[in-house]
Amino acid sequence: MNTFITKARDGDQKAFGRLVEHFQNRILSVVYGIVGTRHDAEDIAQDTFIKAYQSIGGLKTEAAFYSWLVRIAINTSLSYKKSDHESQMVPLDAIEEPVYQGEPPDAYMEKQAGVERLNVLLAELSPEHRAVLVLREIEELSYEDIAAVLGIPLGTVKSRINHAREKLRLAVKEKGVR
Amino acid sequence: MMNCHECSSLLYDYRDNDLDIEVRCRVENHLSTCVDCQIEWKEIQETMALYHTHITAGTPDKDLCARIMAELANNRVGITVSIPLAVLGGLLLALLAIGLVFLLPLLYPVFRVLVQLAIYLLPLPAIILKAFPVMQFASLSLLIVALVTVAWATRRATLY
Repeated sequence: MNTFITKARDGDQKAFGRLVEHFQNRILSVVYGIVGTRHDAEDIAQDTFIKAYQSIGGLKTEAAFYSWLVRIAINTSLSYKKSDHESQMVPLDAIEEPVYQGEPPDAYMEKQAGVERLNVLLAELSPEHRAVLVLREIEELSYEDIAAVLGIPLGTVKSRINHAREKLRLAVKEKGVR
Repeated sequence: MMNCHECSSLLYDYRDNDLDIEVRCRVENHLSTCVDCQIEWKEIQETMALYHTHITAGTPDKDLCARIMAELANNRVGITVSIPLAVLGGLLLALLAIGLVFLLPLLYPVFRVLVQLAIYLLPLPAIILKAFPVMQFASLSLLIVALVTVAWATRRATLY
């Protein structure tokens, strides 16, 4: 992967394309964890990769590529949430639907309702709390790495993670999401 | 012996493997005997598993990569000034050049007076700084702060 990063730094678009293919799932998960809709997450992931391509020349080492990319994704997502987009209506086709895996219709409906309820619960968390949650639970970054990525103190990271997890646990327990 | 309140406050650290071995053993001992804490521990695990499944369930649009590459190839990337802006800038520069040709004879005497004034005023800062040594410190500090700020801002702008 380092070869592609080096080539991309030299302006090789094909090499950058390989990086996009390799990292798009992970970046999409991180962004989705913050913005909460697949439709917006794809747009922001696209912006993230374009910003990355524009500024990849400033990347110091190949080893830092992914954490640098995640930082761009997080900043782009948080800026998006702070902008007016939040108040816009979500198009009908952007509402999440779980993957159909051949279960009986009742079970599928229940799963769909569960996804909707979980989205509502997650929307109650602030974007900053969602950012630390996704970095810890999905990216499995250490507290120190999360503090470095977000540029916040270690104590703030711990309190945000535990607050987010506890709020989610209580909400799931209270509303019975399965 | 650990109580429920203490155990509950440590469950997330226990899950993160962020406890030293002694505290970890005490949490495990408490969990093995306390039904309420076992329930809370199970809820934590289930909630986080649900969250993980929910966030990672989707797959990106198969065209996402193609869209990004098309955007890059579109030559939009890297160009920071649009064509209309460039044309407008060119027109303004041309107007400025024409204006200068006509205005220069009028502006020349004014410039001359200004230059003479500047020559007379140039030693003024040195005289002031010599008379008030504390100002040397202040101006030097200001200069350092300005340089550090510019360096930090440039580095930050490069990173993002």
